[in-house]
Amino acid sequence: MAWLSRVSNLLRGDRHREELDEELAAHIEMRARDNIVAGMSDEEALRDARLRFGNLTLEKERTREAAVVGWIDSLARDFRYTCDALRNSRGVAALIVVTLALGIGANTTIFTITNALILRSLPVRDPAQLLRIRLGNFSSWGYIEADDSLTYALWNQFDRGQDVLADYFACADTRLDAVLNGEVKQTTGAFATSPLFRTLGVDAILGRTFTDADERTPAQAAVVVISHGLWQREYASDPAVIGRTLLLEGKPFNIIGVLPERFFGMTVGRVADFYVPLAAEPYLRAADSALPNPTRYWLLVFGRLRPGITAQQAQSRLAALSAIAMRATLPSELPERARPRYLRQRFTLEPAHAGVSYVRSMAEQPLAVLSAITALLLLLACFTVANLLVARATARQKELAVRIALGASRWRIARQLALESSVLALAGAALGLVIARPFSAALLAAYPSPYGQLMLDLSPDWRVLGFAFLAAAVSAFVAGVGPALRAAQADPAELLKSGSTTAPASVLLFRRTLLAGQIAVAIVLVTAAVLFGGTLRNLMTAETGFNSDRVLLAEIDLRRSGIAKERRQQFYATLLDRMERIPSVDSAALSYVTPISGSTWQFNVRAETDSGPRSVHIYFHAVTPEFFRTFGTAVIAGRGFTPNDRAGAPAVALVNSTLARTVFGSTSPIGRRISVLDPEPLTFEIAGVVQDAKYRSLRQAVPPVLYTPIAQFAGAPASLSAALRSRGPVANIVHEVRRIFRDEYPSLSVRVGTFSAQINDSIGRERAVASLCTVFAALGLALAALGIFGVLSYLIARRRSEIGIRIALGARPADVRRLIYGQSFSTCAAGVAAGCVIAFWAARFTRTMLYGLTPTEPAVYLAAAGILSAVAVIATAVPARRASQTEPMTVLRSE
Amino acid sequence: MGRYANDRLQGTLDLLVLKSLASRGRMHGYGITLHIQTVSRDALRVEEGSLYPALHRMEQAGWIRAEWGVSENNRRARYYTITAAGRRQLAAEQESWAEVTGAVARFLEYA
Repeated sequence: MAWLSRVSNLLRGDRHREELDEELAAHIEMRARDNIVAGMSDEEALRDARLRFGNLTLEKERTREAAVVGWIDSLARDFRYTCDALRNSRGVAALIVVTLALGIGANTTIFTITNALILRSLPVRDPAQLLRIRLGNFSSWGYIEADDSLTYALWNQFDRGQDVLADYFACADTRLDAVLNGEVKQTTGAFATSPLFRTLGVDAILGRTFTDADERTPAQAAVVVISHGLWQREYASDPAVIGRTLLLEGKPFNIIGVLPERFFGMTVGRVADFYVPLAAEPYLRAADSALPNPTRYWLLVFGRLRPGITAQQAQSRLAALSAIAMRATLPSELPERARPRYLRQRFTLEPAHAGVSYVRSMAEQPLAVLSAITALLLLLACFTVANLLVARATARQKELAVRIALGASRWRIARQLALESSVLALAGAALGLVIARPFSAALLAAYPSPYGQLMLDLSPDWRVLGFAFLAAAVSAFVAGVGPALRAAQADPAELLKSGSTTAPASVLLFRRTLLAGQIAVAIVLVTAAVLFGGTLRNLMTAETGFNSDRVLLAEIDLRRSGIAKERRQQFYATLLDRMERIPSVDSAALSYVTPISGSTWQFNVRAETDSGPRSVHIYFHAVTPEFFRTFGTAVIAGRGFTPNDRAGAPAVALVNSTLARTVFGSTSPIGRRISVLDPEPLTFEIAGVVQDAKYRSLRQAVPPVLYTPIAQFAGAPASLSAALRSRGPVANIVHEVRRIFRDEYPSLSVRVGTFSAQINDSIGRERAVASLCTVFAALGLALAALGIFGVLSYLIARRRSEIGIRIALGARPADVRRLIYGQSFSTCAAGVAAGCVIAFWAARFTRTMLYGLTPTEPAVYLAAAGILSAVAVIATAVPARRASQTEPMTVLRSE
Repeated sequence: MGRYANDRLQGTLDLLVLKSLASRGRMHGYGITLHIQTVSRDALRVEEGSLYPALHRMEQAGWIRAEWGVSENNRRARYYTITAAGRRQLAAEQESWAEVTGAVARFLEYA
């Protein structure tokens, strides 16, 4: 410390030292008195007065606490100074805070959803100890509902045989038709065994939860526990709801309790409004009960280990139990070849602190991509802020030089600037947190899920706050460290001594490097927008093989209608007839699989080809005759179906072009035979060929499809999809069709919607990702444009006299503009090149999310570079024009 | 942190102290601190740890004279006054400061 040695040099002799001590004591006392007048307490006043002397006084006190307190105190003083300084340049400060808030807010938005969907523990007692029982080695058999949950028979075996879990329960999500305030509503519910509440430590806030006793007498006294949300929405939080009777699926249930607000069940993204004892399931679903079905995998099992048992021991005991349980429950209907696979199934344990979710696996990749993109956006925001801070520090060099002259150390100055960027970053993070909550809610509402609207707890927890704080810290570092070090290293004496331009030259280089970084990040963002926007466009313009404009869909579910299995066929026939008689309906059809709904029906069939019989994997469609006319899919050879292709008539089928081509090559498929082995042997004669049409989704290439008359093959399933082609705009018949179902088929569960809406919903994920990427790219371009503008303005100001001289010597405005454009483009080109390399490397991770374009296509990068160049030209135009209008005389006169 | 060649900058604090004493006459160290802060409307804050070494250095250089006196509040305090040598020094410092700030102003305008 230079001044310390100076002090000691000064202080030769005790007398001198005593004098200085007294002088300092007087100073401190006077300062303290002023402090007291200003409102400080005696103690505070004295401490402040001492600390203003910095290390000199502290050296005397020689106490550790004082050093820490002193550091904090001087920091507090710097903080006040920072706030003053920022208040004096509100415009720049606000611009910086908003820029950082956008960057941090975007990241926090995506993280809030990731946290709520994937990371967050369930709001139950001790979630970390919660385990889930799954079926290891599970494999589905096509017609069994594929999941690794348990059948009721397996649950029984587990319940009776297990000795490793202390508290455990089974539960299953379900949909229920409930009569609420006089209206039938489709609601979410769950079946559960009574230990659920004990295991999770969830108590009713009103009434009680159900017990073993409620499970023993399900039919006589059916009980239900309702969610807090439902209680608020439908019962206006009326405490008298306890004891009221409610109709679920037409059966009376007695409301016995209301659950706490934060509890939503075991499935993240879904809130069960009704909890029904598992034992009441047969009472509720009657003939459709899943309990006796040995191949219906539907129960989720959770529990906690008994004290003293390790996970290892538990696994091995469960393995022993598994062998017994599988043998005891082997379904007799299972085909011989599938039995060994069934017997190999094992109960396994896995941590379940975050519950289960059907959406997680689908959302992981988009969330990962969006996280990466928002991280880039933040990086871009930091570069922008760094550029602004450098500009600010350059403008403040005199002020900083004066402070150094007045005894402030360089470290103090660097700390001051670091503090400044930290304050800005924290303000940005605070604003970012504020905007993240509504943004994440809006994003969630816009994000379509096949399981209905996602219900997530988006309230910020310590993870979200920590994330925002971390983002702020990283931003403060990335944006602040460069400018702070530069300012502390710059030699103010050198700077003040003359009009030397050495420091500003390095400032310009630093700012141009930052700008190139900004451009590079912007290119990556634009590339992402091009890739995902292109994917969305390709999906929306894909050849579907349908004319979807005027098609209305009605998903019909007979399971809860009370219509007996034998009467279904007749029922469907009358229903179709009724639909066709609606005046504004042009044609109507029923089909087993709804196109573009995500569901499929696949078989292995035997086709007779020229080279003999051949086994082919194909997709099935069972349809009524008007299906092709209704969906606008053309029959291109042979004939379509007619009402004569009924049960008992010779079995016929249509094939799509893909099947005709891949199986029969160039020969005509008409008149050939295709045989099905399961569930019973049946041979179809091919009667015609139809145009290729999308099957499962827009994304999937058209598979080989075999169409059969519903009357000849599918029998009478419990649910079917009806399609209606309207004469006028489809919106006109939506209400009419809804009304007909409500008035004439009140017992039916029906979902009505347009085919176009279904197609739109099917690419909702792509739409969400593409629109977010477009927004982020636009923000990135705006920041890049701001950067170009700022750096060029600085460059032009610096070279103003040079430009003036050039003009005086005969340069035309076009020459000056060319000079500025050259400067702009050389920096932008470096950024574009770097950005393309990074984007090219990163894009391969998005390959599976793309459609109709690949991440290696040069066109993508040309497009991104083109868009950025256009922005660069616009951002350069104003500074270039201003430079070309420089008045040489004014410049030269003021030199 | 090593030493750096900033004699002229070190002179800035001297300049402020000399100017204060020249315009206000006799002052103690605390008074000088307050004066600089008030006149500069809070823009300049003297590091108090640096002030006394500077005062003593200037005293040794003969630019200022120190004597013990009694403050407004009857407290013994060390009072400083500017000497003739100090006034000459102030004039020189002021001139060189104008030179420097002129350069800075030109720099800020055209760089």
